Amino acid sequence: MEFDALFNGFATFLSVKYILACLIGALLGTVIGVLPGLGPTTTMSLMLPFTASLDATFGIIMLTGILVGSQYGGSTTSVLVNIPGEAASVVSCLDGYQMAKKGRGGAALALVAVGSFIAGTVAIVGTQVFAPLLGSAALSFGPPEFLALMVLCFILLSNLSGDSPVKGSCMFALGLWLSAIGVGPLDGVARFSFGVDDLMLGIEFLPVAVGLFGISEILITAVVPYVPPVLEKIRFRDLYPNGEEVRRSAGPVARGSILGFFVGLVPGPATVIATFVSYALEKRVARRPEEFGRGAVEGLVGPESANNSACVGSMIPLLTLGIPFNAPSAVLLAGLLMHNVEPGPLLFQNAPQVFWTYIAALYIGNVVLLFLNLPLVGIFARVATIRPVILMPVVSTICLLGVYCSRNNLFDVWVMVAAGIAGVFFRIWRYPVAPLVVGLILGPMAENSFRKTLLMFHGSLMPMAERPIAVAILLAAAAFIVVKVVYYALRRRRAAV
Amino acid sequence: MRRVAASTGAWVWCILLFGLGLTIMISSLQIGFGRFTKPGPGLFPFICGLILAVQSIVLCLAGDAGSVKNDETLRHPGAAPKFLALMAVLVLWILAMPLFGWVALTFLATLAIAKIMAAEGWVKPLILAAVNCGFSYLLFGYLLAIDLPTGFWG
Repeated sequence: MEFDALFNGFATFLSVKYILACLIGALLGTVIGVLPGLGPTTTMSLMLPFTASLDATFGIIMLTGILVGSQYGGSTTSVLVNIPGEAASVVSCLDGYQMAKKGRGGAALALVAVGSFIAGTVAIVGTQVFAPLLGSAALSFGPPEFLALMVLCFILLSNLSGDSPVKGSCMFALGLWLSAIGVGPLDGVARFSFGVDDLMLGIEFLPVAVGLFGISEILITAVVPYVPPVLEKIRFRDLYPNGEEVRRSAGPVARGSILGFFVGLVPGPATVIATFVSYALEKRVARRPEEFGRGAVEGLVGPESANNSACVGSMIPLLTLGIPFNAPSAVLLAGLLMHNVEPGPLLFQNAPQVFWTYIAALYIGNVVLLFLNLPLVGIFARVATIRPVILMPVVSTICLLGVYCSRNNLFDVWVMVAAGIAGVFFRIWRYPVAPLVVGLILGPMAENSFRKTLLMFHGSLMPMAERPIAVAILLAAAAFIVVKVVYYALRRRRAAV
Repeated sequence: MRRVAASTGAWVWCILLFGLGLTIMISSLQIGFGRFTKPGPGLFPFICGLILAVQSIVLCLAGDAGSVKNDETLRHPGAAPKFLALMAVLVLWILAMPLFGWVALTFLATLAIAKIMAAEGWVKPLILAAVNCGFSYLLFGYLLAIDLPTGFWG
């Protein structure tokens, strides 16, 4: 572990400005994270244009704060009002709300906060150890290896998002095509611009992401009848868990931390998968599985720890390979690119301070959140009860302003609205939007590696079979397809019996 | 999962995706496919279009295109008119911004969105609209000095 580099990362923080960035990010992330529908991806997308005008370190620290903050925020409303702030907090409703109904809501939140802090810290240490190793291994990657990675990403993301792999692959392909609009990177030929000047510059990631996640949320929230949540009151003295609750939480936190970290390395909605896997695991190993769904503390702290650990772990592929495996890391990648920081194998050579500042931001963000969450839990819960009629006009202003400010261009705002309207229909018809966003971001890299590989091997992709890393990656993709086919076949056979 | 492959919506999705895929493929050929030894700018989008077209056929055959599993988003009473009204507000907001400027349009749009979302009375929506546009202008237009559209007010 490079302690000197880590200390340098912490040294960057020794300024009021950067501590403020972390505080603002964590606070914003938590506040917006508690709002139903506005998860980490939307929050980060909304804040992205505003960080562009700030210096790179400030922007990266703030985005990191938002990312970790929104993971905490989602659980507060799950426990207190039975409304998950984001998808990864759905599992927390099962036992968290039951605990709140028994008068243990405060203790549940305290355990979640401490558990998440421990899990977050474990995952940060894991990132610190594994990311540089993977980063140096990735230095030997050439266009064929990156092409193989793109194939793996395509297969995994299509299968892991939404209810149909075919729909996922359609959305990924759509994202890849959108990235090809505008002047091509290798030969300067305008593609699909139809003579429109603004299209020559290509479709920016930001308006599409804000539209798909933010505007579509506004449109859907506006048409769905509002049901005011019932808020469980929390007093400060209620925050203390009893001895038995602490004892029962230790194992789930440890298991959730490790499980979440490794699930985070898998492409797809890692935090959501981690919570469900952790819940199933805890139920299986629990001494009293019959308590699950009736306020079992293990059913709350295990998934919450896994959620936070997966959130941190999922950033490793982004930092080491430059490939976002899920939507929040795709937004973080956009943020880094906006600040001219290119994650990937060369990050550790060219800009190691960015990585270590990010790690330091995670550590400090985690500590800030622990101290922020417990005393302010009552206020955060109240935020969840703000009526959409007040919230949505403000959110739509933020979306418009954010996208407009990024390039001072109204065309981007049109793209955002179009993406928002399309997003509503995608969501109604269950077409996952995350693969589209990832496809849009990965498009240029996919095209570059594809064309360079063809040039390298004189028009054939077969010589890729002589590259061991590329072969290993392609075999992993094939293995995933085989596992999936076998799984479906077994399920169908069981259903027939 | 409810299979509704034969529903109108499912067919619309299949045709839409297939049509888009086909259009992309044809346009890509016009851009220039190149050769495999020297790939042109149309090759990559052609493959994207091909994936879209093929997968849309698979979607149709598998009956997956129209799985709307209990989704009632636009089926609530008054949902569709609200949705259309909100879309109209967003479009007008952007369309008229170069003419009337950020402040006036944001005030009107906030008011309109609040009223569409069934805000009671006029006083609270008016206050919300004034605070929203005032605060956003103060923060972005004044403090951060971002060049927001001013319209004919100059």
